[in-house]
Amino acid sequence: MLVNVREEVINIISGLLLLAISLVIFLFGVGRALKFTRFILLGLIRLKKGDDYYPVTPFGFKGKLVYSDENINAKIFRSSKYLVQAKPDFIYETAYQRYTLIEYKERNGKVYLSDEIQMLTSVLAVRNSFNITHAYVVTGKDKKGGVLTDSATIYEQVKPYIDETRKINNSGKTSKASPAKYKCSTCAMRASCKFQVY
Amino acid sequence: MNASDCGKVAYCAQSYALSKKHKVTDKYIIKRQKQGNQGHAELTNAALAMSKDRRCFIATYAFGEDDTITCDLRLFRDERLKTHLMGRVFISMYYALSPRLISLCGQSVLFKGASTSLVRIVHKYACKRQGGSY
Repeated sequence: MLVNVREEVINIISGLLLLAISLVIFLFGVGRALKFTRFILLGLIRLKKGDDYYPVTPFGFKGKLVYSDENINAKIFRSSKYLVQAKPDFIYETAYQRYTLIEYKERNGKVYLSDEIQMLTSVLAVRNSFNITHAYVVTGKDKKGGVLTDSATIYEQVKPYIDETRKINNSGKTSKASPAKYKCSTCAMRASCKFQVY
Repeated sequence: MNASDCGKVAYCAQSYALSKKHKVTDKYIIKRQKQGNQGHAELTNAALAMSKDRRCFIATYAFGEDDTITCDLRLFRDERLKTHLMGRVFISMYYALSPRLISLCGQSVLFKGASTSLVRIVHKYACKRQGGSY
């Protein structure tokens, strides 16, 4: 009985699929019909294979690498809405039309607020091209990030820093400083800074 | 405006403003920056290597995973076959059939001999198509 029902369902689905393909051929031509068939077949393969469709990444999740900042000619992502640009380290496809952005820091320490701000600004720039749903900052020992909210909320979060950066780029000056022992000891500008703390 | 600049301002606005005027001269900082760039490059290479498609079943079965012939055929697949529709169809069919073929006839000496000769012929053809660049 169950086998009969299954066969019946498969027959209905294949009939509908053939009908849909014929309709696409009739309306849009053979090229688009082939693309449509490929899309449907890939979708079915992904559905069947589930998580195994994607290879393991060096960051502990499964995904397909779609972008990496491998050289100086790597694509720069720009957002005309928020007027920011970025070259994130890695972008992985983790599910259909779902992407994860990775910002890697070559140190063994913890993730700082500045790393998170950089990651969020990158997300704003990249969302024009990829639907980024997750983002992480990864250091040698630490990993921070997760599910992202909508772009407007992210922009509210990073807006003070974006405004300050624009101000410095235009005037070359700032009255703000956030000296701290751990920052100043590794700062490239410590020799010429009057706010330094040792 | 760059995302990395925004991060630098969040770290310390004064440091970012000074970096616009002064050049980095501190040897320790320059060394750390170099180490950082090197680490980035190493991780990128590792990520690229992990994401590369290493499948090439019959060639791997006949010659081994890292043999030059297997690598050449992988290159031929990525550079020539994947660039057009019929090539991609062939690749899909090959990936669907070859693992089953190997699991069925993998133990046979005759199959091993035949597949080795066949792969050599395909390799020769691939070299010819690439203008002998392999």
